[in-house]
Parts: sequence; C-alpha cells; structure tokens
Amino acid sequence: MSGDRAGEAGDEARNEARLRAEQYLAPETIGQLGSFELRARMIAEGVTSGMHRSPYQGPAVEFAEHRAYVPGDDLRHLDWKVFGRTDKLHLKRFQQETTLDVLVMVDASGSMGYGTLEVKSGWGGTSASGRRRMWTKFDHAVATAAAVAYLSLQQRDRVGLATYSDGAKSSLRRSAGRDQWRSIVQVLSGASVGGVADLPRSLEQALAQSPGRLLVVLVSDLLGPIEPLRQALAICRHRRLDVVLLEVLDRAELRFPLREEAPFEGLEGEPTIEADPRAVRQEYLEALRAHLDAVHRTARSFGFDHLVMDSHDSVGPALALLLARRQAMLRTGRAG
Amino acid sequence: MLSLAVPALAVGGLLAALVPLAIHLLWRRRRRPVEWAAMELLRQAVRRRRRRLQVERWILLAARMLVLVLLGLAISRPLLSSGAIVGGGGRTLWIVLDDGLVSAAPGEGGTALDDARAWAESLVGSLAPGDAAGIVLASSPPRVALEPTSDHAVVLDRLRRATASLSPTDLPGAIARAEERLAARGAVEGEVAVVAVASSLREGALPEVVPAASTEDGGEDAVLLLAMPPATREVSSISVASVEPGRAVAGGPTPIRVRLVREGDLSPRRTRVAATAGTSVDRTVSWSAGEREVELEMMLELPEVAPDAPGRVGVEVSVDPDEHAVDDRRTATADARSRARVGIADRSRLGVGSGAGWLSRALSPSADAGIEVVELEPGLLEDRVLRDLDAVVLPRPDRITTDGWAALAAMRARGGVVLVVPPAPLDSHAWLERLPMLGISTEVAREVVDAAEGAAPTIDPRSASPAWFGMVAGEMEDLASPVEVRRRLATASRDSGESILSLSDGSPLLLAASDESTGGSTVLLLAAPDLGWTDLPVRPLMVPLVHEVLREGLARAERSRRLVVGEVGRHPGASRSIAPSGATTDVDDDGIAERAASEPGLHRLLDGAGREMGIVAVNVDARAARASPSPAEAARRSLGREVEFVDAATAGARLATEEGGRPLWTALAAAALLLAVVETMLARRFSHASRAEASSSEEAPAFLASFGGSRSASA
Repeated sequence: MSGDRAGEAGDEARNEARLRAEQYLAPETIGQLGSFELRARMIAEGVTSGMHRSPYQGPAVEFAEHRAYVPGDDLRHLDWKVFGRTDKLHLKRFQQETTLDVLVMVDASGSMGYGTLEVKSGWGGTSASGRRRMWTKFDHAVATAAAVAYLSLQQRDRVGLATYSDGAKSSLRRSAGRDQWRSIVQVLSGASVGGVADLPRSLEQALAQSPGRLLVVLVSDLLGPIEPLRQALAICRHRRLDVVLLEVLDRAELRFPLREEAPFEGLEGEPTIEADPRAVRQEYLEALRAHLDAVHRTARSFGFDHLVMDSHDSVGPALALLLARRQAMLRTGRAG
Repeated sequence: MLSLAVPALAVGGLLAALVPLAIHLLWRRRRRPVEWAAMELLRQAVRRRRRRLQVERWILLAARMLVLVLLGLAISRPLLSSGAIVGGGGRTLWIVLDDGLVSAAPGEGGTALDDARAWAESLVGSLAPGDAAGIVLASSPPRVALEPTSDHAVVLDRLRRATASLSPTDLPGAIARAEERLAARGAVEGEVAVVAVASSLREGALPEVVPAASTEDGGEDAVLLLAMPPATREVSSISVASVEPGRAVAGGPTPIRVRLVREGDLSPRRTRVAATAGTSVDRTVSWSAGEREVELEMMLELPEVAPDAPGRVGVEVSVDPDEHAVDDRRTATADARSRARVGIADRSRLGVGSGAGWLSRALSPSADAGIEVVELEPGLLEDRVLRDLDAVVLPRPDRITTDGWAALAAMRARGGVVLVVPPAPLDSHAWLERLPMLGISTEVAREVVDAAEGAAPTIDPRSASPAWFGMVAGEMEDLASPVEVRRRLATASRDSGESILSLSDGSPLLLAASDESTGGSTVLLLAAPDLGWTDLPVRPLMVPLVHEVLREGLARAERSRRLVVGEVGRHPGASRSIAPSGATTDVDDDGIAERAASEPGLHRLLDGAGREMGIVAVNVDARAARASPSPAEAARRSLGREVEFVDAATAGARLATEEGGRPLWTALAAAALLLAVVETMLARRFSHASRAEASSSEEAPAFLASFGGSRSASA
C-alpha cells in the first residue's frame, strides 16, 4: 500500500512538473522573460524538468578517444600531454560523453515577420515583434532556436547558428565553448526579418562553414515552394546530415479565422490578393493541408522529421522532438 | 408604349442605380489592406473560388442596381398603354355637371349651377397641358356635352354655356355615362381617370333609390370619383307636389286634391293656392310651425266640352312664387265630359237574358249613370268605329275578326278599356288565343268547367283587388258572398298575377292587364253573364263590378296622360304633340315622341289629320326639385359609390396629386420590394456567413493533428 501511495505521489509530482513546464514554454510565459538567455534557460529547464528521466546525466569520467580541436571547443578538455608530444591540439573524449554537432538554422525571411498574438507589456522580443507589436513567427522561431542551442550546449554539444533569408544573413561556427551561448544570443537578438527565403543557397552557405556531420535544426515557416525544400534536404541527405524541420506557423495561418473581405498583401513582395476569407476558408485550409502534407512527405522521404508548431502554443513538443532525435542519433552514431 | 408622368424622377432613379456601384468601388478603396504571410496558399484558395465569387458578386451588384432602377421608375409613375398616351399628364377628367331641375335653386353666389360651374372650372384650371377633360350633363337623360379634349378653353366655354334644365338630375346615370366613355375608348392602363361630380348634391339631385354598385369589368377601381361638397345653404320653397282631379258627382264641381310640400323655412305662415281650369279657385293654406306637408281639396267647375271633343281639360295649380320657383305650379288633366262612351259588340242580342243584355243594363242602369252605351257589330270592329269610345265590352269575342282584334289592341294602346266575357252558348272557346294581343298573358283553358251539383263556388270578397275595387271595398263582403259560379273558364294556374277577383275555391274569376305607359286595360270575366253559368247578373254585385272595372280602367288611362319633364312620351295614334310655347314634337308610328318632353304645361296631341286627340300634362319632377341640403354621408350613400369630396380651393391640388401610372407604379414597387428580398437572401447566401459558422473559424482544423509533435517524435 505504501508503495502504491508513493507511486501516486510520484505521478502527481511529475504531472505538476509537466504542467509547470508547459506554462513556462507558452509564448505568454517565455515572452515575458526579458533576456534571451533567461528565456532559453527557462525553456530548456522546463522541458527537462517535465521529463520522466533527464537525458542529461552529468559529465563523463572514463576516457574513450581523442578528437581534433576546433575553435570554440572548451579548452578545459584539451589533452596537454598530447600537445606536449605532438604539438597538436586534441580534446579528450570519455566513454560516457554523448555530444552532437548541431546547426540551428533560423528562417529570417519576410514571411516570418507575421504574427497575430498581441505582445503584452514587458515582453521581450525581436525587432519583428517590436515593429508589429505582435508575437511573430520569427519570435517563436528565435525562442525555439535559443532553447535548442541552450539545451545542446548544456549537453556539451557543439552548436552552430545561421539565420537566413535569400542567403545566410549571419552565422556562428559551431562550438561548445563557454562563450558560444552568449554569441548565439547576440546573433539572434540582433537578427531582423526581410527578403525572400532561398533555403538551398542559404544551406549551402551555412554548411560551407560547418563541415562534417551535423544535426541540422531548421526553424522556418516553410511557406515557399516544395522544390527548393526538396533540394535543400537532398543536400543534407547527400552529406549524411540529419535534419529536424520545425515548421513555425501562426495560429491565424493554421485556422484562417478572418472574416472581413480585404486586400491581402504579402510580406515578401507578392501581388495583392482580394479575398473574402469566409468564402475561401475551406479552400485555404485544403491548400494548407496539401502543403503541410507535401512538406511532411518530402521530409519523410529523406528520413527526416517534421513538426508543425503553432506560434501561439508551447515550444515543448519541438524540444522534446529534438531530444528524442538526439538520442536516436547517438544510438546510431550518425552524428558527432 | 411607355411614358413617364415625371420623367425627371426616372432619370433620378437611373442615377440612383449607380449608387451601389459607387458604394462598391468606394468600399473597395476604403478597405484596409491585411498583411498575410501564406500568400501562396491564399492565392490557391482564391483561384479555386474566383469564378464563383465573381459571379456571385456581379449578381448581387446587378440586383442592387436593379432594385434602385425599379424604385426610380416606380417613383416616376410610368404610364403603360397599348395606344396613345392621353396628354402629357396622363389624366382624363370627366366633369359631370348637374344642370338638372334642382340646379336652378339658389346657391352660394348665384344658382346651384353657378356653384357647380365654378367648382368644375377650378378643376379644369388645375389640369396639366396634356390632360383631357370632357363634360356629361346630368339632367335626365344624361348626355355627353363635350368629348374629352386637351383644349381647356373649349371645356371652359362649354361649361359657361350650360343652363339649368327642368329635367330631373340623374347623377348615377351621368357617372355611368362617363365611365362608359372611358371604357369605350379603351381606358388606358395606368392612365388616371377622374370623374368629378359638379353638383350641389341637394336632395333632388340624389337618386331616391341607391343604385347598386356596378361590378362590371372592375372599372370603378380605376376611376377616382370626386365631388364638390354638398351645399349647406337652406332654401325656402313651397312646391305643388301633386294635383289629382277627382270625379265630379252628379254634374257638380270636380274635386281637385292638391298636395303642397315646403322645405327650408318651416315657421308658421300662410300660402295662397290657386287652381285654374277655365275658371279659378283660390285657397289659403296656414302652415303650422314645423309642418312640411299639407293636402287640400279644391272644388273646381270644369268648362263644358263639345260632344265630339276628346273631353279632357287641363287644370293648373300654383302657389305664390318663392326663391325656388321651378316647382311652384303643376298641371293635370281632368275628364270634363258628363258621360263616358262604352261600346257593346253584340248588336243582335241585347235583349234581356243574353250576356250583352245583362251587361248593357249593368252599364247603364239609369239615365243619369253617366255612361252612354253604343251597340257595335262584332264582325265590323275597326279603328274608325272604336276611336270615339272610352271602353268596349265584348260579349261575343268569338265573332271578332282578325282586323277587329287588331283594332281593339290599338284602342287599348290609346288608353282604352276592353272588357271581355265568354259567350254562354259555347263549350269550347278558341277566341281565347287572341287575348295575348290585348295584354292578357294568363293561360286559360278553352273548355268550360262545370262545378259539381250543389258545390258551386261563390265569389271570395277577400280576393278583390284594392286597386280595382277600392271604392266598394266596404260593401264587398255583402255584395260578393251570395254569387255562385256554376260554369267557368279555368286558368292553368290559380296563382295568376292578373287575377283581381277570385272564387271561394281559389280559382280566378276576373283577370286584368294594364299597359304601364298608356294606361290601357283589358279585363276578362271568366264566367259568362248568363244565368246558366252564374247568378251574378241578378245579384247586386253586377252593377258595381262593371262600373268599378270601367272607372279604374279609365282612371289608369287618365294617369298615363301625365309626363315628367325629361321623359319621352308615348302617344299611340298621335302624330305630334304641341307644347304650350308652340314647340312641336313629332310622334312616330309606334306612338313614341321623338324627344323627351322639356317644357312643363299642357301639351296638345294631334292625329295625322290634325284632329285634337287630347292633352298631356307635363310637369317637373316634384321630388327632383327638392332643394334641401344633403349631409355628406347621405350623399355618398345615395350615389352608391366611393366618392371623395373636395372643395374648389383644394380640388385642383387634389387632382394634381393624382398622377398617372398608378397601376404600373405599384407593380414596379412590388417588383423592387421582391427583388430587395431576393437580394437580401442572396447576400446572406453569398456572404458565406452560414458556411463560416457551420465550420467555426476559431477551431483548429482536425488535420493539423497529423503534423503534430507526437507522430514526428516517434520517428
């Protein structure tokens, strides 16, 4: 009996933790965290505290192999003995160390500047939300990317970052160093939206700075044509990279709740469209479904994951997906 | 053919149709653009529904424009016709001008006719240049004085030339005449037809009997009936309402019964009444307060007439002139002869015991009975023989020739009295076939009917017609009961409308038929005055029965010798009539005057040879002369029509509001309303509000779950 009661108490505690985590991860919560750092930390800790068993078990202790040093690596893991013998920089790797190289790519094209969740007083945000006074898809993507980066760095992963639209706008080489997180935060907080997304080109540019095998976390609305996406994913596949597609869409884009007939203006220079939302809602949702289905089938055809995120909702599922994917990759040894 | 009463409004309506278009364009311009990211998805959605949305939009726009066009057209009062549009205004005004007897009564300014004329002129003055107006004069018989014309000067001139007639006013007939003309010229749908009754609507102008509302072809609904308000001014007048000469007793003076009616001033007063027929008699009547009607009898010595003269003299009764003088005098005819001439067409059997004998003695039981009996040969009856007789008795109708029956019919048509009795010797009476020539329509069997032995019916005194036997009604019970009828001719039905005396078994004994216009009468006794048939010849009833039949028959002829101004006289045998003024009116072969009598007084009748045939008294219709004001409601009720009273000051304005095109206006307005309803329904349908509500736009589409994190995470 006592054992049962203990089990029930444990379940309640876990549920409460998950609830707290979800609350942390909702835009209303994470938007009020003033700094990216704090925001990402809260997101990541919220996710990990809501899990039954944390994938992060602490630093490894048993030596396994050496690995060549790359800029940004934590100097504390340099094997000074090898350096003394060979005059080359190598890092010590231990048996229980489970690290990945992660490239986070954030779409900063014009369409990402769309949002319908009103920004409340005290919320932080990007220049996109600051201009529109709305929590935009870009805000959501940045929050997600920062959380991914923070989570990865906490697990000793090397994390690189790139923002892009018609090309790579800004990037950070991958690193697991102490300053990487701060650099990521600086890049994301200074990013702005604009231009038309050119994913293949941007991906090529980002990968040129990040050779080797990677887990590419692509955060975008993916509203462009399917064919460029297919090209980009083909490139990743060719390089034996793993990809997680996090497709961030605003709730209005997912539900199309508009009522007033109006001219619709695109954010990437598209021609204006006169439309009565009530008249075309069914057709719009059909088109959305077809689009999402196409993206999903394309991603699955290369063995990649695809997740649709509502910018009004929690970022928890995305991070949970990422962690699951990370574990899977570590088991199969595809990355790192 | 379509025309517009107010073209400017139609232009306005067409311009109004541009309003939805302008709103549509302005609305498009005013809408604030919406930023949207998923433009490609929206483009695909719009492309799928574009054609349908465009069609819906154009349908809505067209419906809205059409609603306004229809409203604009409706307001502009279009006139649709198969022929010409009447004038530019589309209105036809028929003026019914009361020029009847009562129009001579005093009015507000001059006469009532002057008031009516002024009212009509104000209407004409308010007409638009294209409107047409016609005139119907309402004095009997109503007639069109002017066909509709848009030359309003002609209309005004014709109004000014109208004078008061002595004929009664026939407003219903005049209104009907105007409506007939409207119908005859194919009353144009959409055209406004107005009948304006210009009459003071005094009591004499209104019909005594409310005419039944005409329902033929529904034309009334399309005609607006206006009338001037009934006059309210009281007119003080005393009229001679009737003059009835009586029968002189034993060569003494003739009683003249006079009825006077007064209206207006009903205070106590005295009125002098004068009766003239060669000699004159005056009487003074004292009216008590509130008294409206008095009757008096004046005894008048009638002048002697020559034996071969028609035997009638004219009597004129008059009162002191008053402000409404048309009814201050009245004439009548009186029989001035001392004896009536009655023929018996059975020369061979005038002895005692024959039917003719019994009848001859009944007609002239004594020398001073006042009846001269003339024996006639039944086979030789002809006009020449019958012309000088007042009545003829036919004991042997079986012996009358065809020409004889025709002569008898002519005599009856002149107002003569024919008494027919069946010949006693005959068992079958084929001569009965001739009786329809004399007006008897009751079917009578040829064969004689015998009563059962000891069961002979008697005369039923209660069956005696008051009209024929009123003078002996008090004695009828004693006179009739003992009379038995053992043999008789039987009618096919006991319910004959011509029966004036019946037997105790209900079967008719005496049939009578009178001509309404000439007063001529035929009387058929169904039992022969023969003791084998009945004991009537030896009963006291025989003499009064024969005499009363003759008296009433001759009185009817006398009454027929009166005409009302405005009536067309029937004078069988006459070739012309001569009015007191000397004006001559021809009479056709059927005895019908070629025109209505227009002059009151005593008119002489002459035959083709220029011989005097008698006189006819022509008077104004006393009722039609009544000048008492009528309440508006009573006037409306009397006309039997929905009438709108408007005074002269507002008549023009009222007419101006009655624009043409009402039927099409209502149709267009109804169409616009219907289209507006349809537009509303279409707008609701095309707005896709219901579609949006059916699939709530606030809910996430179900398919999104397929792209949620759980599926992806499992991968």
